[in-house]
Amino acid sequence: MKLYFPWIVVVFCTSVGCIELHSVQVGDIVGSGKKLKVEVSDLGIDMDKSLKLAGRVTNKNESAQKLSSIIALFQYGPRTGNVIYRPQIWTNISPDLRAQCMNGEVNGLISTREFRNFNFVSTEMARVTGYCTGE
Amino acid sequence: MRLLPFGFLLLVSCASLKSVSLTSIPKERKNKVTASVSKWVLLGINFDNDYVEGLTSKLRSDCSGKVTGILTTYQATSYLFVSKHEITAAGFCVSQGSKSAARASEESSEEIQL
Amino acid sequence: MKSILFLLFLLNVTGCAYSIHQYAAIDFSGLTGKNGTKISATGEKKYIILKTDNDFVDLAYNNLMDKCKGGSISGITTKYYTALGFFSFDEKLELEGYCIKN
Repeated sequence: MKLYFPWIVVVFCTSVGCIELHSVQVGDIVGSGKKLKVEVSDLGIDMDKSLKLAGRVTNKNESAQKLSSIIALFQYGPRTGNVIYRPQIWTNISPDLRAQCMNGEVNGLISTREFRNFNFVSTEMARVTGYCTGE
Repeated sequence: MRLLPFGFLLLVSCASLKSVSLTSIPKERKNKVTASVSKWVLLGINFDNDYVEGLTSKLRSDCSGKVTGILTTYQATSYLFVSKHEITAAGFCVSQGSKSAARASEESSEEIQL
Repeated sequence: MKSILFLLFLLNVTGCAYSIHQYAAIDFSGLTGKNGTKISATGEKKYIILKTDNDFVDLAYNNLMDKCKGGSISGITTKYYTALGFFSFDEKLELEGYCIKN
């Protein structure tokens, strides 16, 4: 049981989607008002884990390992969370925020960058919340 | 006595700074306001980060004007089985210089009356 | 031939991988209604194996300021990400804001 315990935690955490916070930024605060929220989420893929899983399923562990090493060479660079393939969906936040606060002023913004882990895939998220004053 | 090393391990912690941000610093820096929110996470099992949103209301409760020059630090302290995620925001409360600040003050006073 | 095709396939599948580091908005003071003109600036630099500087940040910052001479910039949003590649990567910083001229 002792040996299995860490694995139980890992399996539990990755199957139900534990969330991790990468960064937080807080902007100037003027006052309260209508609450604003803009959220972006994208599918993140852990190629190494995905290929290992594919190798186990197809009984080709060695080939999967080799392929994973080759892909790692093609995906070289600093990372936050898992890699994504559609950077274009991470469009600008400001028009969305301003559209929610047409006649007021946006303030008290909190920007967070989060990651929800589902083992070989993840949800890469960014959330901006704030207040609209003077509307 | 045998449990002493284990007890020591439980107390050992590693702190890491995850992010830092700063907004423009005002000339008037007399009234400092600070707020922090934190969450204890057992074995990395965490399902939401909603505790972050309490930060602005905490800062706002200490200041009727505008809070600016906000230094935000997000740090995590890891122990053997648990970790503490703490976000601290420290800024300066400045008098209501803008119309919106005045409006905000009116709104917050209305909230208090309610 | 097979290996070349395989490499091309790999390039196609893995060549467009990105990592988003920061996606944030901080200050919108002075922006009410529809005032301000939308401006944007990008800083980009390619690094091979190692990253030796962060010049792309200054590039984006100076570009943004150049686009709003004689005015103030508010509503700045940042998108910092890396395009991953073969033993190299491109660091990109996209800044957007609103130029307010009185």
